[in-house]
Amino acid sequence: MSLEPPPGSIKEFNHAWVKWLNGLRTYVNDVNGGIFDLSALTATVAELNYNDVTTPGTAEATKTVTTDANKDITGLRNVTLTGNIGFGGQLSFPASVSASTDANTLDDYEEGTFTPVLSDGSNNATASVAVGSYRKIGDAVFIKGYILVTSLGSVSGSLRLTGLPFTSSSTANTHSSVSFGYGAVFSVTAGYSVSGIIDPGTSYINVKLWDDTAGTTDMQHDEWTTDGRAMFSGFYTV
Amino acid sequence: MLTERTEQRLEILPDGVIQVQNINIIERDGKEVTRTYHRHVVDVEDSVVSESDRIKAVADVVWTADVKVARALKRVNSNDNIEN
Repeated sequence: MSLEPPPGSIKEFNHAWVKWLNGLRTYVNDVNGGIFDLSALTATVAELNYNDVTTPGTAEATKTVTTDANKDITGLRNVTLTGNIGFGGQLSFPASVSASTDANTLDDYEEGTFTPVLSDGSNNATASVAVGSYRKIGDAVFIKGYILVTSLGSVSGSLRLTGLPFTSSSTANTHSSVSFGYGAVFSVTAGYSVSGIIDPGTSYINVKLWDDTAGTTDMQHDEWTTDGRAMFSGFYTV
Repeated sequence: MLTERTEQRLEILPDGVIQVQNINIIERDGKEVTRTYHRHVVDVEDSVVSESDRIKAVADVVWTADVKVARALKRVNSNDNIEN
């Protein structure tokens, strides 16, 4: 068959063929060896570009989409799929979050560690074990940690665990709860429970004790004691 | 050959809080093999004695008197509904 260039064409073609693939699709090669799928051309001339498949590994700056020698494709911006995505590898997010306000958009993932520190806000305790890890998914930060204190030093009064990896959301009344699944060498009445809250706009856990008929009070340094230890977990939003 | 290096990325929040991301990068023959993150937060008026010179310099510039007052007010307004 013969293919006549469409009126107003700005490309010179030297070969063309047709292929049945869920319908008739027409392909042409231009003089540089690039491949056009004419059936798929809906973009304007300004947006139009093509994937350079003739010389893989030779990225050309003038082309919007390139395929390198590893068959990695770069240059795509917004891709809308109507089907499913299957991964043989990983899904990566940029190191700096590209925040979205859309409630249906996942915009960040990060995992790492932090160092919990028992403190009164001014003075820090010494610990032989202070391990924390986090997973940030979107605006939710999941944390867990273990701390084994060996000396309270000058810590006095209400306790907090500082060192959280992110500052919590500053929105009023968005406090988060932290649970303590293990505690030892405390000096509290049997049956009392240790818990914690993260106030808005902070990066520490206020350590609480369920020791009052009305609810919780701040856990005090002499209730933790010199060798107190605890494991905790929870999540908060940023 | 395996080599290890660290980077530090600072995120300055609108209220002056500095979020610190320490990045540990391991490379084999110059190509990155893995990277891990360790984070902490330096709030306005926190002590920066043990922080890097870079953080100290940023804090010195960012934490103006106005920023300190605004941060303190914000902290109070966010927490004034909690008694204990």
